[in-house]
Amino acid sequence: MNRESAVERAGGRALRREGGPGWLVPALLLGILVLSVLRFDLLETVLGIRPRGLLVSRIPLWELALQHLGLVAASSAVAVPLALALGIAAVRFSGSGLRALLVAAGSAAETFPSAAVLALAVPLAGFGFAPTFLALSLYGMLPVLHNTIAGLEGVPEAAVDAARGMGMKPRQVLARVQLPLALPVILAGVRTSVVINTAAATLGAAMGAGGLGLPIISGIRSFDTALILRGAIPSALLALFGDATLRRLEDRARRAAGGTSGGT
Amino acid sequence: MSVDWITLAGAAGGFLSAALLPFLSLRPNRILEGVPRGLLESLGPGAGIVLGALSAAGVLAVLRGRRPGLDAPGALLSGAGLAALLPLAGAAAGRLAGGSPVARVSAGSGLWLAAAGLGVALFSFTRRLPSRSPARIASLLAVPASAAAAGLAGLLDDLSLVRELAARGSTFAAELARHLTLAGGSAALGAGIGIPLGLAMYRRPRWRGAISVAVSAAQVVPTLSLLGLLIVPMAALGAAVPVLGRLGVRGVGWAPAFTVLSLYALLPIAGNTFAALGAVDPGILDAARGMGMSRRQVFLRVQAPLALPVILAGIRTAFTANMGNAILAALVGGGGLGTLVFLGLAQAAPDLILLGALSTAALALAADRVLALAFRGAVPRGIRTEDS
Repeated sequence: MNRESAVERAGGRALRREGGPGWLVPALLLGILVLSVLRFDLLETVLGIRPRGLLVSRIPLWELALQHLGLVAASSAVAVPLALALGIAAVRFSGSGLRALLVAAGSAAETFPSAAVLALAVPLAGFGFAPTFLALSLYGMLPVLHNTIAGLEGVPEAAVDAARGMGMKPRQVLARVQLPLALPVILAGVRTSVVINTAAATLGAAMGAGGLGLPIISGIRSFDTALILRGAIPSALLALFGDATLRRLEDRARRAAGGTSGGT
Repeated sequence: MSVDWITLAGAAGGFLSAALLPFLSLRPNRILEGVPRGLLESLGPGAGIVLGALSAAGVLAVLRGRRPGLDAPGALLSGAGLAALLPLAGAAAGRLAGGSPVARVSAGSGLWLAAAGLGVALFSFTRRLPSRSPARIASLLAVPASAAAAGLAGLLDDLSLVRELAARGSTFAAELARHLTLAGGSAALGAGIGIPLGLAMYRRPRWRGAISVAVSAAQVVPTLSLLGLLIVPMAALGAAVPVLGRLGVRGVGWAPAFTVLSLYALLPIAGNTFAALGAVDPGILDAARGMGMSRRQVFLRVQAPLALPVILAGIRTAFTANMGNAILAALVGGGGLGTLVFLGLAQAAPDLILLGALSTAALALAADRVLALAFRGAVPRGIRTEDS
């Protein structure tokens, strides 16, 4: 909804035009992220702090980071193709009422807080990886679905007509014209989905799914600031890295689409 | 016109789930494992109403290909079926609990999916009716009306969620009030800062990139991580400024939660303000200047009113998101409905989790609807759009 607003992109574009950072920002973020996960003790030495709790010290930070990454990757691997297929079906069979149903249900579900979805998955699927994975997969579908429909419908009618006039079959029009032109908007949806899921995965720690939220939550419970930072800094970097990387991919797709495809 | 496949699929799926999956679940107390109960065991003859409504919706979905006039009976039937579910489940809960004050009867997957199937049918049938047709209004009002009537008549008292609520009445009210204050107050502060930021982005192109990156980063960083990162500066602030410290600004409590939620509200509000001001047709601004208006007049009388719907939409987005995200305040001792959720998680008490999560979600949905209606009135009739 708000995250992929045209506005924000305008801001981003303006920034890049004035000496665009390109892939430098994602690369830098990745470097700091990896460093923070492998050698967090360096930062702790600089700040002069050390976690007191023995709770998490036994699980190395890189393992928590991998759990976190795995959770986000697995749920996105389910959510993105499923939402893409649903969105394409909704636009192709728009007369069937599927589009109306998906748009209405999707926008109501986007209002639903992600934390509530996570919490509700616990009575359904128990504690651990399963409820978090289930909630993230479902919730992560919403922005992709939303943007797939908006992106496909935002493709200029003239382009579709021209393709049909060239004798393309509906399937070819979709694959060669509509999807490439809608790609920047769809990728913006994927970015929103990944960012939301990276954030929601930190909460997964409260549901027993592990991840970088674990030190944060344990730290808050035991008033251990150093422990909190161990989770908070890498998870913030992970989210920023995911966002920056997908933004670059989006820019690339936008250039490939001729920079015309706006949409929301 | 052909068969309405969506409604048919919803009705058939609902029918099969209601018939085959556990309809209600009975637990001897609030923490023990549930024993599934089928549709017939749960409702007895009432099962006929549920299955009848679902099959009627399915049949009407097939027949309506030739007679679009069937949309009205379809809407009324699926509305009635959906409206009947809650009182039927409530009455069944009373029978299954068998007078035990600690037994908990909650909805099973069969009940949820039957409701979803009827909901799909209700949505599809009413969508095709004219917006003011009596059948549409009656079928859409049937569900809230029957829920309210059943609740007032005490018919729902034996459902687990209502029992949980009854057991925590006063805590619930206090946390609800706190939740509303946190979410509403932080969104208001977010608007107070976000609108000027959006204005600055519009007026000062040099600042645009920096502001945009900062407000997006505030939303990209996970809420929980931001809460964690704020603990140290908040504690320092509370200690350095005694007045704030006395107000409760500490590393934990309401202050970090309030700050995070305000930061989170900045992007939709600042972003929409910037977009809205930039989207005003330059021709209109030229015309206003041509009429002899001053810069200030052009802004206040032309540009700002034209931009208002989009700015208000941003405030609505922020407000709705904060209603939901305020759940997290409970993790740092900031109170709110999240207190119930995390207590429920700690106690492995599903009803308590459900009570906290469902009421938060209901609040978010209600905030979205109420603000949509409220802001609609605030926008000049001539420039009303569907979304505002």
